[in-house]
Amino acid sequence: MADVEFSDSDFTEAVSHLRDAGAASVDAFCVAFGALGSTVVESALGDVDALVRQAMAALAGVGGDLSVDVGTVHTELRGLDAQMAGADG
Amino acid sequence: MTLPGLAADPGEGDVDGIRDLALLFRDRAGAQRGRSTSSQTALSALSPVSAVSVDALRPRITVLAARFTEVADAADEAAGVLEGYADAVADLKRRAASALADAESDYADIATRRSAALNAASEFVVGWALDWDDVLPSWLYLDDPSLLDRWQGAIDDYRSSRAAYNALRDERDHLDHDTAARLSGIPLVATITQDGVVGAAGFVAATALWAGDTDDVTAGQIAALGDPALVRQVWDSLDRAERDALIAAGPEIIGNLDGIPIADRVSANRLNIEAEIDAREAEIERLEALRDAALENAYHSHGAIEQEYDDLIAEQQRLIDSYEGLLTQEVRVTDESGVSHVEIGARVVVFDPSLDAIATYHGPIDPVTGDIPAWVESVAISVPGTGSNMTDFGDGRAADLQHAAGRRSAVFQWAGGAFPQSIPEAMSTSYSHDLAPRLRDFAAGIAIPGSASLTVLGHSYGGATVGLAEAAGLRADRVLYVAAAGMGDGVSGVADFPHTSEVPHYAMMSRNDLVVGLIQGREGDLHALHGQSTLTAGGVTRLETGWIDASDPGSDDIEDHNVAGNGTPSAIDSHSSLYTPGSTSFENMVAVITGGEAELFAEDEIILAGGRPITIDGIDRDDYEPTYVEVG
Repeated sequence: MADVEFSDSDFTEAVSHLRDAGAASVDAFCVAFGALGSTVVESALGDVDALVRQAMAALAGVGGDLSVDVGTVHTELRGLDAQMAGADG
Repeated sequence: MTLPGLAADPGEGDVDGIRDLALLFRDRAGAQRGRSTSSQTALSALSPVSAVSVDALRPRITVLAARFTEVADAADEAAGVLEGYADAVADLKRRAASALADAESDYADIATRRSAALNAASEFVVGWALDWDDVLPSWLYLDDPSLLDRWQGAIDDYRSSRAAYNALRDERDHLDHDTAARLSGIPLVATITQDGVVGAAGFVAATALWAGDTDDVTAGQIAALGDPALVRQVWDSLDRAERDALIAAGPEIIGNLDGIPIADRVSANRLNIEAEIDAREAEIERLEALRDAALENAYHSHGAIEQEYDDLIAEQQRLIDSYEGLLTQEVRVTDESGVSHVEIGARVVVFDPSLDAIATYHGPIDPVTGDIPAWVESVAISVPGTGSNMTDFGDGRAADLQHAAGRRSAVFQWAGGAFPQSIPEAMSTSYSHDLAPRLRDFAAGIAIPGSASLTVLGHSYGGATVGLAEAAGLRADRVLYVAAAGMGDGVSGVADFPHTSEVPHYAMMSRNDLVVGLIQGREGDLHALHGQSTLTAGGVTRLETGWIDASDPGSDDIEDHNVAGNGTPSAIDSHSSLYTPGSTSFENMVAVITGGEAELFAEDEIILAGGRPITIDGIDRDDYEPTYVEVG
């Protein structure tokens, strides 16, 4: 069937990389904003930090969802492939 | 040693700690770039695959990779800002230390020069009167005057070195603000926060929207966005099941959140009304138990005790009856083709008993968007006046207006907070000040169809509320003040309105209105109770209140029409009979809402009869011919 062409390794590799992209982010170390010595800078950096962390978490979620969706598509295509193989006898 | 007048340390902060923060962001940037690479590698892995279902995944993976890069760029930029900040703070520390040493030395020198000038006895006698920067007057000094000069010189030296140190503090303050601005200006930050519109409380939902991962946002997080347009964006990104789940989990939020489509607010408020009914019924049970216990323990006055509790119970039941009425109300809806059908349940778009807030919608709802259909041409928000509350807020007036304005219209009746319940309470402008920003935000949250107009009309105290809402930034295409108490406390005219100063404004009031007629401020009178009168304000066109039956000039003037059985004279009735369907005033309201032709106010005629001046209402003049204005 010319419309669908794939190999299992394509999908397993894609899923693996998307799982890497979707892994939870962990900061290597913690630092205190008090080191800045300025409440003005602390407030601004606090916002940047919160947004970056939120963005990292949200994107990890998207990566995880995509890895699941790719896996689902792979399963469906394998099922379709099996059907076609059975129909061809 | 504490040096006088010295500013805070310009070198505050831990430079190594700042560099560690920069390193943290560098690490994050590296990790995010790695994830971007992983996403791109996944995309490459799928490139040999030929399938429609995979084609749908490619753009999502592409966007994901790009988003990781955006976060990495933001983290790198933050790291760069912090590294520069660390260098600047380190330099300031060094210079501040040197400047401080100079100041300390100069300050110590003052004491030395002072001791040289004053012997112990002199110090004892006059020293107590001299501050650190005072020098004994020369006319009092009997010793070598050069000692006084050196003493003054030491004080001047300290002032100079202190100024140099304090200048470093100014430099630090400038550095801090500049650094904060650079951090806030990081493109990703500006994008997600909409250039600062979204506050910290809204970061979760705003970031989820940006990332395309709104599945897990909560009603509270959506509400924290604080901007109706962003709320709508997040809501639109959710599927039906997700929206229903949010409505079920947070109906008190969703039902009152500006930006949520009408149909979903109505669904949420149905739950809120049912919950409030349950709460009132529980309250009745509690009161009944208290009553029964009180009666059992009382030796006398059983009748009074029972009456007291029964009155409270009756009030709860009254509320229940009113709320149940909202749930069972029959609403006739007409679609674009003119076909009508009846739906059960008022369209309640605001319901918050804790704020005494309620609002309803009258008009069609698009079954797909859940909002005002694109074919609606006229939208109006009607604000009631004194005496409005959650069980009596003029809902019927909105229904009448919408019915008269036609199927291509939509009218909200909005009482989004506490209104004064009596004339004495209406003397206070505090209610209007509280209501105004809510009205502004409610209007901002309505999805007005592209070619439709928005008219905001306010009655009596509601008129002053509308004016204050305009002053607070309300956006509307037309404004109508109906027997308004004024244009709002402190408002001097349309020039005070940032977004509506150029839109058409109209006003109407019966000639003998006794409710608000006596408190109308004269033109330019800024100290009138509720601001400039709508009848004399520049840029406001006065419309005629006319007859109780616009089609019959022989019917009562609004001024003369007495509502039977209510015990009040026509001069009181004329304040509210303006809303009588079919009256000239009502027809004029509809004209303003739909952009039709409205009858202009007819100036009264004063004649002399029997030596006394008599006022003839403009519409009662023998030569009266109505004149009209095309509503803009």
